[in-house]
Amino acid sequence: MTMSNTNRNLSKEGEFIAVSTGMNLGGQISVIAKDYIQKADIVFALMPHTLAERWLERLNPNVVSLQPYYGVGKYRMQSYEEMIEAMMDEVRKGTRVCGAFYGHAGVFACVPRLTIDKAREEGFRAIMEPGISAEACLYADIGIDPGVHGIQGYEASQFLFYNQSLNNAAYAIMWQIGIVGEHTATQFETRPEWVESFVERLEEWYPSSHEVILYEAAVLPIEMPRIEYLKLKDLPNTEMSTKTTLVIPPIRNLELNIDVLEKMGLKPEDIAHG
Amino acid sequence: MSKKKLEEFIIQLSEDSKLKQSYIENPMAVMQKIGLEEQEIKAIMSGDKRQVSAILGQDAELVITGIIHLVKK
Repeated sequence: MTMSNTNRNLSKEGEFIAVSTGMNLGGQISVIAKDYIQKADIVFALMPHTLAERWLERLNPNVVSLQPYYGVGKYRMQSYEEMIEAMMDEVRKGTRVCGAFYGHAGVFACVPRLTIDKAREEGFRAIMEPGISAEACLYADIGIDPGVHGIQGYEASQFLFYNQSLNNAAYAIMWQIGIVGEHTATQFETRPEWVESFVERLEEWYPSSHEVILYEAAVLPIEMPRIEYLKLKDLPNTEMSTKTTLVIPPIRNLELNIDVLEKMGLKPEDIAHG
Repeated sequence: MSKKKLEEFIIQLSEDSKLKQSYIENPMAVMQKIGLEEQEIKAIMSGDKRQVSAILGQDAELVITGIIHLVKK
């Protein structure tokens, strides 16, 4: 289903546009996303810091922060439901509502997607504009090209709790390592024993001495990204936050699938590199 | 008033490639030329995010998480 199809025959007044602002203030927002913000009747914002909220207010004076809906000890799905309803209340009034979300609005952010789904269900136009995510910054800052070895990515707690698997010939990216094991959806930190369980799980594919990387994208132009190399076994004793990502480099080389090559009538030397 | 100047500087730094390059080459000189206060320059040069948050008047780092493992299937 294409974006245009999902918005076809929607005649109700009011719309919801989820835009991605990038990670680092005004330097990473797309031209069209900026335009949506400037032309909206009201802008709801989920930004990484208050300076970003004030930057948004320069584009549109009618900015409402969604941050107050979060709370330590408060069930996050409740926070999300309240955010969605706050934005939908405005859409239902027939106004042009813009949701401005830092990074990419569709990556590790369920509120924009759920609001779009709800708006469309109720007959309103709703779309998402993509943007520069932490993952995009990671490739630039660390210098990884996902096309070279391959990339697999998991939310760290999801990986821990569910029967996921890893290919240790490719990079693995574990998002939200700083809250790994947090199973109540009410807190914003992990515990050393939970990180230890996570490391034990990873040791099914990697030795504890394997070098890994902790990454945090810069969210201000005066910051440098965090790129910290450490051994896997040292992870439980390392400071992490909700912004921290774990990058696990591959531990073995790619292996050719000889069965596939034979079926295709190819030899290993037939495969071009570069 | 200085806080406003600091905010203006940081926002401009995110959008102006020439200013950014000058800042990368000599951050202290750029901030002094713009007229930031000594304590602001010191906080930024420390690289300590808590000090930077303090001078920007941010009580704490805001919360951004996606809780994918608990999103209903």
